[in-house]
Amino acid sequence: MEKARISAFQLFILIVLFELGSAMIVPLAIEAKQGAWLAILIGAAGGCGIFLIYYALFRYYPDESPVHFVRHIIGSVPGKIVAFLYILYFLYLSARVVRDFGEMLITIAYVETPLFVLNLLMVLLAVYTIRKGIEVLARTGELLFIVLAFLFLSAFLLIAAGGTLDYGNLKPVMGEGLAPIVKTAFTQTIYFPFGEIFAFMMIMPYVTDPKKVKRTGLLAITASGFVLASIMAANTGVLGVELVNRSLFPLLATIQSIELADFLERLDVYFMLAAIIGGFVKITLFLYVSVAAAADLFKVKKPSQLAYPLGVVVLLLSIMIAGSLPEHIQEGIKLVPLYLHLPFQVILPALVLLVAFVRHKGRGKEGEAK
Amino acid sequence: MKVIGISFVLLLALMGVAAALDFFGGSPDLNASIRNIFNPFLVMETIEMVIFIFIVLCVFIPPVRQFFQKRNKSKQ
Amino acid sequence: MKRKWILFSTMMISMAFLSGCWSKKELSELALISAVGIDRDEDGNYMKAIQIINPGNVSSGLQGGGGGQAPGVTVITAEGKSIVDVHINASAEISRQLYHPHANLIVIGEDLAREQPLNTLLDSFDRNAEFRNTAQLVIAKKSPAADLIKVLSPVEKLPSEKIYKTLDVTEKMRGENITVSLQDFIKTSASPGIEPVLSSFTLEGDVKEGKKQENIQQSQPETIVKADGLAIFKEDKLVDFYSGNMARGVVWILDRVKQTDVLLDWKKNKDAITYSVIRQSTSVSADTSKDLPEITVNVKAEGMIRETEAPVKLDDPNVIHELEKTAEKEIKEQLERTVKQTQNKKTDIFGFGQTVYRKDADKWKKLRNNWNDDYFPNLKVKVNVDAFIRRTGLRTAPNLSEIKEKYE
Repeated sequence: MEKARISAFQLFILIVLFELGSAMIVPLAIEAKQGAWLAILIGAAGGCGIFLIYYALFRYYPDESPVHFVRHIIGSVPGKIVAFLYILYFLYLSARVVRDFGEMLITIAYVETPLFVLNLLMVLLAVYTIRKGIEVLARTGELLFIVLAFLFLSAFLLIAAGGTLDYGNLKPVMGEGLAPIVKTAFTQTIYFPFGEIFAFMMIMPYVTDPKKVKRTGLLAITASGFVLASIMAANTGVLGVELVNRSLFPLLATIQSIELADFLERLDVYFMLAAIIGGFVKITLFLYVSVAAAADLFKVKKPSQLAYPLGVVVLLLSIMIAGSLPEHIQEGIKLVPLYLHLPFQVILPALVLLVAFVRHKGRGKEGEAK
Repeated sequence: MKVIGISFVLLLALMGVAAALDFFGGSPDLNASIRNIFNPFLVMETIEMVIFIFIVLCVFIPPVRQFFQKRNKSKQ
Repeated sequence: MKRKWILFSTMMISMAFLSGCWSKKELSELALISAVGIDRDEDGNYMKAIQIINPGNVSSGLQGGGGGQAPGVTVITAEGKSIVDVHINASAEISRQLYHPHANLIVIGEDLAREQPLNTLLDSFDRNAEFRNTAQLVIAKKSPAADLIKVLSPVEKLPSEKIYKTLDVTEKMRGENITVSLQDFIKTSASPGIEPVLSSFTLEGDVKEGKKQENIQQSQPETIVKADGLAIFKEDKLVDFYSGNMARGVVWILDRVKQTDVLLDWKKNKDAITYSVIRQSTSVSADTSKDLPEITVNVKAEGMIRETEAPVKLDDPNVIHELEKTAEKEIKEQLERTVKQTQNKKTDIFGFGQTVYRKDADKWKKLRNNWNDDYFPNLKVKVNVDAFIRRTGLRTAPNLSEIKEKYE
């Protein structure tokens, strides 16, 4: 672990940017139809629950990275295996986000540019940031957060003022009862994007005031939940469920439909800016976490040495993941939550927490002091 | 050198993950899944190819430099 | 002192020779040629049409229509026994010296190209240092070459520029034409085992209307010049024109396709899905172990779905795979048809002979004499196509699939 310190506020900003990252550009929870926003809010509540598991683990070892304390809890060899699996998990997720953004850029603007080149630019940026360390990322985040906040506020204002919003499109919220909404929340939104906060297990030890971590985390998840829910509500309100369902990037279509005062139109750049900011933070964080974890696990003295090679791994993987965009998306909806998110975000941490709980209870106060 | 070893192991493991997910996603057999991993690299433009090779070769610069630095030191 | 004087006088004398104005050409004494068109009349004389830039009428951009009244070019015609002869005769018609380095287009009439091997015709251009060897070569289909360069063009001020750029753009977008420069043509026709192809242009409408400035003063010009497929050569003589998918097949096997659209059938709907090829690479290999070489053409293409007129679930990866298979079949059939028909024409425009020569030079020595007539038509050609669909645009499933679900 590098010797760095970030403030609780910076943690808040990073979590919000991270959660919004790729979730805001895709038709999130559209399986719940008009109830998508509700599914997102339920997901956020579930995300808060999962966060509490992580926080409980963090409370046991507030100064150590998970790569270390998992070995204390479940033993050296199983701990190493678990840490290795998590590194794979983070790299894979990082590659997925890179692919998301590469495909987005190609579909919207750079039709003839090879995917490889677009992904490369994104990865190089992330690698550069990682070499500079987490503090730089946190400070960059503060700056980007202001830009993003301005974009969101003005975009919502424009949508509301433009008269394209039709509240009728949002009804009926529970056309087929609560069941599909809850199902969507528990099969999708809880894990993506909210459960991905697991990556912050590696970041939390850097926070100057560990006591504030709990409040900050819960607040950040709730805030990003509300932002995402309002984005999906705006999408549904402007476009209607059918069009949102058919769109790869509904937010883009929503923003494109703004036409105000004869000159505020074709605001695609709003979408691009917001998407790039979110994507940059998410890719960089995932890659940072995998670099830090790998450096810890394999005892590499300078973690920054790993940044570029692992960046190249992510770059190659982002292209290998799937042959086509539909395949990439289908894997993201059907397979990744079930085979990757569920075990890595919920089951494994819960098991580790259980073991830690039992061990610490057995040892009593002695263990607590350690 | 260690760094490259780590990266390579991780890359191989992740390719395995990608192939496995492809297989679970309804691809006919494991062979096809493995081929699916490499098919995005089949059609490349010349410039793309040059950038690709350059980027991959850049990974090897630090260890090679280190190697020569060490050798020079040991000579002295 | 004496040495100083000698040095001084030598320097003074040198100045007279060093100024470099031996054969000076003032800009105001030159007639800049932008294109030439070559035909042959009934008596067997060459006819050459020379398109000359009217500098005053071209550079009106900043003055806002000041010089737009008269055409940007003037065409003069002359005839003679040889190309150079014509050129010299043409000077009788123009007040300035004809200046070649700006010419970027050579148009050759269909009749002339059918009768005379082009290589002999192009010798004077190739030999002339003043002429640029990157000038594009095109064939005028169904009309004299002179007519093609007389027609004034909308958007572009110079008709030669219009043809030149049209060729460039349509090559990139549609892939049914290729740009062939003077040098390319001569290189290809001199190489063993490959016959040249050229792009052809055709005239739509009446040339008399097209010559007038009024032609381009309307929203839809009466007469227009447009690219129209490929001209196929055999032993440097024009033998046939290809257009549409046949032309694209040739361009494809030559690995010159940049982007193109392939229409796919889906279930019962014919040409319902448009598959856009964004990039492709094609390689030709030969197996020379048997008496008659076997040729394999490997095509790898990747692209996207740009349009769907049939209900198809594009968000399902299996459907995408199925579409890829359909695309592969379609491209394969088109290429095989192109190869088959070209084999009937007995001219190896694909350069299969060249592939054989590069692989196995001894074998080629045995085959080369009657390659076009005896061996090429009987070659076994295998076409392998790998087509990949990478993405489907902004929307996933088309509108139609929901409409169908609603009404079924």
